[in-house]
Amino acid sequence: MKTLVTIKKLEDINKINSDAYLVGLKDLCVHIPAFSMEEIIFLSNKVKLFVAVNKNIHEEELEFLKDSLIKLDTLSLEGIVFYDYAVLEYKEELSLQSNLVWHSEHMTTNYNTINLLKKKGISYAFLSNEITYDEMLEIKQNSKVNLIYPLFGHMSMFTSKRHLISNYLETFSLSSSSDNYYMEKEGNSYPLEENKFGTNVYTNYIVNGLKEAFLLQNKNSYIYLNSFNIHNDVFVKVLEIFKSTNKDNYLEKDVEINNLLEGKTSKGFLYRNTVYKVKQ
Amino acid sequence: MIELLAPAGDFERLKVAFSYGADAVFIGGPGYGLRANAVNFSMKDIAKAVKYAHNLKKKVYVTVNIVLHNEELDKLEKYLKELDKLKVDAIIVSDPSVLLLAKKKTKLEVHISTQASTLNSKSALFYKKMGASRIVLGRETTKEDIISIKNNVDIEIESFIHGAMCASYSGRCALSNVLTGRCANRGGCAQICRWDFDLKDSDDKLLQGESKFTFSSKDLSMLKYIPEMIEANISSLKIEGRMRSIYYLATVVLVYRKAIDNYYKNKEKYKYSKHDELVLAHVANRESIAQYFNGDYSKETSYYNKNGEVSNQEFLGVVKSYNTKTGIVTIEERNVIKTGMKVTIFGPNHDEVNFEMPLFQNEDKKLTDIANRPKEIIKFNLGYYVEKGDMMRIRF
Repeated sequence: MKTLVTIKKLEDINKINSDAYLVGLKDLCVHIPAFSMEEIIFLSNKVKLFVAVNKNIHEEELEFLKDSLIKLDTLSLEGIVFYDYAVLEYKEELSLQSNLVWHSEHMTTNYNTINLLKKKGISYAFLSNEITYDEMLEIKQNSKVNLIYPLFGHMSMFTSKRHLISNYLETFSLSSSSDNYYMEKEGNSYPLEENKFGTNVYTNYIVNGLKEAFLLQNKNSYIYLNSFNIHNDVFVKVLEIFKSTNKDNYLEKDVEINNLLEGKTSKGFLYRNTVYKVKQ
Repeated sequence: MIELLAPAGDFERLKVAFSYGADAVFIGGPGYGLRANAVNFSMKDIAKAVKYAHNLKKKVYVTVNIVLHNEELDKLEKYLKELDKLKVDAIIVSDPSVLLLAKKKTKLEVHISTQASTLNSKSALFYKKMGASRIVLGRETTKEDIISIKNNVDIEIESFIHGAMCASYSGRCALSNVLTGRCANRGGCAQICRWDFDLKDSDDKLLQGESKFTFSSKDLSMLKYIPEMIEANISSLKIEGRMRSIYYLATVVLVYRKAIDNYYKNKEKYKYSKHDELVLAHVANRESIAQYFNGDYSKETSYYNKNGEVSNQEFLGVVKSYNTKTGIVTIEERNVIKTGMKVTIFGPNHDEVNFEMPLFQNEDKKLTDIANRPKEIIKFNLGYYVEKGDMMRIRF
């Protein structure tokens, strides 16, 4: 199976051996480690690279987005990952040649919209982490673009423009120089981070979709593994397990991941239909 | 004139919204909306609502803004065609494929939901090219953003003026789904952003002030900024809250109706009403401020005072009738009414009527000084003109 992973630092590409890497472009990405344009140019010459410009784009950021897309389009990238449809408008306006990856996060949930956006210029769809395995399978069977399946790691579950940690600390005159924060409720601990663009929150659990990855993968798809909040040594082992999976061992390998991560794993929404209830 | 758009959770609230001055309402149908736990309208109800609205030369928009999953695709076309047949004035969508389907298969006007978090003119252009006639902007847009978007794209802009705020960018929140199994993007938001959490740093040290950590935001209130919003060429001003009470709806719609009309009547001399601001503050169950329109998302917009969040007991009753010959008013009680209370009756067609509650006649035709049975009918001589449908509240 082909893997797509996030890295925390530039030198991680030497330790983490993946088919492709996902990095964020500084000042245009959220909840994916950000790299400068120079670092991205360096990486694009070394590895297969997807670059995320996946933040909600505000009006005053359009010019920067436009300039950045023009620069990125000159690089040899596997794809540009976007959330905001402004990117599709720029593809048309600037005749961009790069592959575009639709990743409207929780909204990439059906094949109809994926196929519609293919006509608007996308080459990949990065699926929502809020859909089931069966839905992923149905999308696979009916989509006309290549797919990226988010099947390992902490899931992003909240993105706000508000500086929620700073606001809280300031309001109650609390001080902290911590880089990482957690919020806890009923024994569950949710990682959260804040930067100049706002606040991001992640699941308390690590999605382990190895079994599903093996069943969904094909030569054109990528299995996305998010390294956020996981030590590199552990992540390298996880990746090795994913890469060593075959039809005879994928069930055992799925359990091996659970054991390696000491019970912090979950199947997320892969077998959990979301509620959609209307009182009649 | 700018449109005043109000929420309507059911037909009663739709009638209240229109009678208190809304030009249009948005409602949820039997499917595909983002308030799955609201009562919502059946197709028959929608037909009735549209007929009622069109007789008043007003409009009805129907939300079709859930994040679409594979399983909904088959029945969607039929649903949209039915809405078209009922002559709803527009549908509100967040998924581009719903927009495209509506434009291909129906004559429906399509508005882009705030769920799509449109914050810039290029995204607005994307939707316009696909056939959308209006964008409900993301709540994070500033005044300057709105002006720039409007200057760059010829499309109607709808902007929120009052009500609860999502702590996240709309559409970018899975908190409810992860913590409770109720998906916000599918209509089941459990408002986890209002929950309390323990905040800890990387050393496991608890960071706690007088209140626990929460994402909770103050509500939005744009009363002061109505002139600026009108001058920014916004087409529609939207009030949030399909699940709010008729009292909340009547109060908020009336306050904004008056502000809009007064501004258009005399732009130079217009001043926003501090009394109306006080009225809005009373009717809300948490503090309200302007927020992103001014570029403000500081700590002042966070809401930690959950102890101050109380259910509203100020709504006393609804006027069922007024006899112009005798001056007798009939009220249906909603909260305890006592003789001696200082009260106000307000309505869309007259100034507020302020008085002290006299002794009144109860359902047994006995003179009494307290009404405390649910929906108890009371009568008394008022002596001021009021109308059926007016509301009575504590005076402030």
